[in-house]
Amino acid sequence: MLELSNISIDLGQFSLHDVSFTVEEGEYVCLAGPTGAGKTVLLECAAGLHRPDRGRVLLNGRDITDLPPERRGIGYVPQDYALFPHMNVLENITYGLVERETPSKAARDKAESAAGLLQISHLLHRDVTTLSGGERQRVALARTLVLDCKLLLLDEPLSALDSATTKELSLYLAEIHRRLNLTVLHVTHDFTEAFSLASHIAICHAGRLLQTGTLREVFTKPICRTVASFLGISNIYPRRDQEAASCPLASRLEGTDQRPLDGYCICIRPDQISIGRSEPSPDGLAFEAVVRDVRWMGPTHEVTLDAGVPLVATLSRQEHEALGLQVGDPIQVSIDTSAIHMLEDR
Amino acid sequence: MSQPAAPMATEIADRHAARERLFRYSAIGALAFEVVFVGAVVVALIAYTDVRTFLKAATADETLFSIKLTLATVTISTAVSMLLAVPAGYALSNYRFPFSSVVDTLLDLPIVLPPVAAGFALLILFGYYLGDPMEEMGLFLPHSQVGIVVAQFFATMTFAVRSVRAALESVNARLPAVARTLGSNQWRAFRRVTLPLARNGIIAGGVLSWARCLGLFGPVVMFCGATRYRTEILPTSIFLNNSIGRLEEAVAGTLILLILAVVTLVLFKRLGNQGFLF
Repeated sequence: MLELSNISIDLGQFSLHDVSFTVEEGEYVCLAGPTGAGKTVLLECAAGLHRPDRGRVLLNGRDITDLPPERRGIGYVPQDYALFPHMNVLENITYGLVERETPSKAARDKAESAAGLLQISHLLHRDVTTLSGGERQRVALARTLVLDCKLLLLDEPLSALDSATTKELSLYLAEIHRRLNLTVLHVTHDFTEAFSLASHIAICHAGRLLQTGTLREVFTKPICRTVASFLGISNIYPRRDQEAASCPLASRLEGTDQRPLDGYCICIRPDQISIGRSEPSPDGLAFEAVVRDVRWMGPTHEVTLDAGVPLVATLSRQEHEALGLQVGDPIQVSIDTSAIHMLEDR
Repeated sequence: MSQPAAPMATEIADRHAARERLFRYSAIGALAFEVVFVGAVVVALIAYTDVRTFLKAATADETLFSIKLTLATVTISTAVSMLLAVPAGYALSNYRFPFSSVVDTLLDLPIVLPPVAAGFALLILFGYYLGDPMEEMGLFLPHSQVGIVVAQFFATMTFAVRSVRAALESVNARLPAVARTLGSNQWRAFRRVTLPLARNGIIAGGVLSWARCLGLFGPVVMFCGATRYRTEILPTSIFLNNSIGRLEEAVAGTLILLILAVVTLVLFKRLGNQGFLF
């Protein structure tokens, strides 16, 4: 549906370098990356607010690079929602309909229907400056949805909201995506937003697109150290760490398919590390470590181990209670070799 | 040898309090001096005359002529300034172009140029260079009433552009951008979003430009002279009456300007102090 092909743009503070990226019809894609990665610029190139220095923007196969924003038919909700402060909620929602010369009765009906969908019918005559963050977000969404755009661009839609509102609105976004059969490109700096919403994720860093794929592909097989770090994976060992004599990982992987190569890191997701009191089975990688720290993270516990290199494992509440871990305890660690992932060291 | 006694806690607190008092009184004192100074000038002006003398001088033919000419020229020059300032301010705040710093400096020139020099420069342009060709077209600007408008426009256009630019830039740039994604073209986004949000600032800019034109003397007198019943605006009238000792008329003219200035200030403050006062 939306294809960004070899996009490059230099805006001084932000730039993009040769970014290519496709969003298929009906997908919910999260464009994730740290602050300053260029995500918003990419979104604004798609919306028509910036013209790329190089590259093309295609919508359903049609080149729209030179089309002004008003002729693209793409819905866009910016991070600060950009509600028009001199108009009330209803006037904001019907703004685009007025521009399309929709008769006022039809415009009002559409606005009321969108307001009903987003549960803001009671706010229609309110001054937008008196709305809460969550309400403003819904008004901004309604203002875009009344235009029947099939592609919706959302810039950090949940970032300025408290956690309860974030949860509630992410459920709404998922429902709207499903009910209206929309294609959504959602920019976020918080990869956890992708879990509740997205089918696909694209990771952007320093103006470059590092990896795209389904959520599972990217999370289980991050392509490089930067992606793994952004996804919050703790156990990443660059070559210099692996060469240290005390590192049990590299030496034990010698002679296996997982032998570390130059320019690659070893990465092990914390949830794929097993720890126990008894001697582990000889399959896979097994060694002894010492507990250095145990942190309660709500539904899970995060255990930091000293295995020559620091190693982080996550345990469920039941596992933690069964083991009764204390700092300083020796503990047996086992890792299935299939859980060890090689990453490009960049 | 005995050590000097350490100051008591209360003494230290007293010293701190005394320093704070000194700081507060110095600030308030400076403010009081300035308020009293302005007040004294206004009171002296009002005390010099009485209602009957003022009304007689203010309704004299010559004063009425200068009031009418002043209001007409000031209003026309402000209207022209603002009509040009809106697109020019939009261009300055939205477009990047080569030599923008040169453009910026050139636009600032009418502010920093001494008023007499500005008037003289206009005289050279419209008298020496363009005088003959314009006269052939029936429009000779020096020493004419149209020339007053030109001098006022020259002196005030930068204020107008700066005010409009500030008002436009006070509007979140994302708002018209979002309006574009909702279907507005550039003009519609400007008219429906930017302009209403910048309206107060633009009007305030207009009010201040009007006020600045009102008191303009140097460029007008250099470019248009000070001819009674011809190029006699209120500031010129005050100058002429003072120079021949008709102080009642000079005071009446000054009081009229004072009243107009107060009205302008009240309007400006009601518009939320937007734009540039100076």
